[in-house]
Amino acid sequence: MDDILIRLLGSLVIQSFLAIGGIYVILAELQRVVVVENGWMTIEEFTSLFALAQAAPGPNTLFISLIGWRIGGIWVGILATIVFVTPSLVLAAALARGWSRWAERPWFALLRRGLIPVTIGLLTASAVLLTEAAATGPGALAVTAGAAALSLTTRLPPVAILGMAAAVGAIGLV
Amino acid sequence: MPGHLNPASAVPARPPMHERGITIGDLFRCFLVVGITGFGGVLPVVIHEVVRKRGWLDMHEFTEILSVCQVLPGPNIVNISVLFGARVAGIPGAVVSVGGLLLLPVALVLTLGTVYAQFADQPAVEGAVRTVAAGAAGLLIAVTARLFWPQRRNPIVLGIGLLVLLAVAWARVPLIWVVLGFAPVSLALTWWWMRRYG
Repeated sequence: MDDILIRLLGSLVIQSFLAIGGIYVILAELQRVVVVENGWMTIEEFTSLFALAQAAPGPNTLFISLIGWRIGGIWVGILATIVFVTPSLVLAAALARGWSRWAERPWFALLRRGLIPVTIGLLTASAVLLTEAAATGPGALAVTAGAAALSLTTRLPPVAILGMAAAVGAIGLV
Repeated sequence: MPGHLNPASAVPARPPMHERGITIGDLFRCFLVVGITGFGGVLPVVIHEVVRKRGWLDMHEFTEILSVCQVLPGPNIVNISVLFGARVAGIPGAVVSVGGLLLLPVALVLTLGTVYAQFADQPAVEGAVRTVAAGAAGLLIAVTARLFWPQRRNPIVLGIGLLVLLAVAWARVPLIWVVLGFAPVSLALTWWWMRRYG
């Protein structure tokens, strides 16, 4: 178990540094390590844990918790989560310290301003891809349009809007 | 007059983040709510709680933080919570923010994971999961619109944004190559623009 733990956590530290833009970037590599190389679970289990992480509330980082949990129980799940978020915690905290000190420096102003175009492009692409995946028919498309309109025109919290969407789906309207 | 590229000059200066009267407890409670209500993508919830409901950040400040977090390794939402928490209250702020964000969701899936998985096969739950996914897509559309609107006259946002959109959604270029490829171009163009127009 110790050996598995060291390999799992060691791999997660490396993955954490590679996950620029989020967990989707490292899915293939995670699958290689967890399923192919070490045989810790089947591909079906891997996929269903990912689906579970997406269905549950909270960030997709939960997938890492679930992988640890499946391999070694609750404590390994918690440990895996901590190991995975620690590198970004350290980096982001260091950046926060520098932020006020560098605020007026031209290169830092450039960094803050110059990445906005990429961010807007990435967000638009995510919105397009998510809509494509979710738009299984005119009903689903109407739910997407309705949620966007409600979010833009009211102050309803996102969870209330998703609650309405869930109700529409649960009673079989869409 | 390209003053729109420098929104900081148009907006009255706000006090630095650690002087906005946000306590450690406020941070923890805020991210607790973000974590447990963040179905189908957490970004819309962060914007709702931090920008719209509490007014701790304005949309421009949030866009800057998100953009920097986008190129840091690790999950964006985790990075946002750490960076924002640390700017408000140093390391303790960072720890309570990310702790609040992850605490309830991790506890939930690790204790109820198996129950949750069995539940997912019920037809009513299946139907709800489908429409929640559709709704989550709508929320992301709204978020994108909200971030894009203040930048709509920025030619670099229009150009690079469109190319990134095509690269990701149409050509399906892996995200890491999109970031590594377009971030330097976007920075170079912005640098040129700032030197030329200020």
